[in-house]
Amino acid sequence: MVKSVTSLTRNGLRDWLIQNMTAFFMAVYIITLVSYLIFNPVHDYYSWHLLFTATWMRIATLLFFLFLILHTRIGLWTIATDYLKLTVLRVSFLVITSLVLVGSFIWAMNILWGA
Amino acid sequence: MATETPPAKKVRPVNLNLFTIRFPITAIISILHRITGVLLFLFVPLIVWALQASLASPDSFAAVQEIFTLGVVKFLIWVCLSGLIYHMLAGIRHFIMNFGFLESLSAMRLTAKIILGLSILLSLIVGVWLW
Repeated sequence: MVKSVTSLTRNGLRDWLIQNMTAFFMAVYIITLVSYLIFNPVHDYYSWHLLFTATWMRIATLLFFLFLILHTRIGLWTIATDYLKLTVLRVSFLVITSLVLVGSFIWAMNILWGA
Repeated sequence: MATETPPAKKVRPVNLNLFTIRFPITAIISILHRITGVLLFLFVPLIVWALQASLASPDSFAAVQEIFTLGVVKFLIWVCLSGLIYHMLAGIRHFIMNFGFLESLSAMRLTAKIILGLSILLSLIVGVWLW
C-alpha cells in the first residue's frame, strides 16, 4: 500500500475539493479568454501586449497559473500512486514534475510582471 | 458424509491481455482523462515559453507567429487543444457527477458518448481552423 504522505495537502477530501475548485476557475478563465479572442481577434503585438498588461488580466492569469500547478500536482499524485508502486520511482517522478510546475509558475509570474 | 475429495487446485482462466479485454466506455473516458491530463502537463512549459516570447518584443511576437505556421507546430497545437477540449469536457462531466447528478449507469454511458462525440467534433473544428 502506498502511504499518502506525499499528497498535496495530506488530506484526500481537501485535495479533491482543491482539484474541483481550481478546475472550475480554470475552465471559466479558458472559456472567457477564448470567447474574448474569438470576438476580438488579436493580430498584432501591441493589442496582445495590452491585453496582458491589464491589471484584471494579470490577476486572473496569476490565479490561473497558481491553480494550474495545484490542480496538476494533485492529478499527477493520483496517477503516480496508482501506477508507480516503486517508492524511489514515484517520489522521483513527483519531485521532478513538481519542480517543472513551480518553475513554470515562477517563469509565468516573471513574464506577467516583467523582469 | 461425503467421500469425494475436493478438486485439487481448480485452474481458472485468467485473461490479462489488454488487447483482448473490452473496456466499457466509462473506463475509456476515465483513462483518457488521465492521459490527456499528463499530456497537458507536458505542454505547460511550452505554453509559458510561447507566452514569454509573444510578450517580450514585437520581433519575438513575429517569430512566434512564424513558428506557428510550421506544420509540425500546428500539429502540436492541435494535439494540445484537442487534449484540452477532451480534458475539460470530461472534467465538466465529472464535476456534474460530483454534485450527484447523472450518476446512474445508463446516464453515465450516455454522457460518456456525448463528451466523446463532442470532443471529436470540436477537435475537427480546431483542425479546420488551424489549417
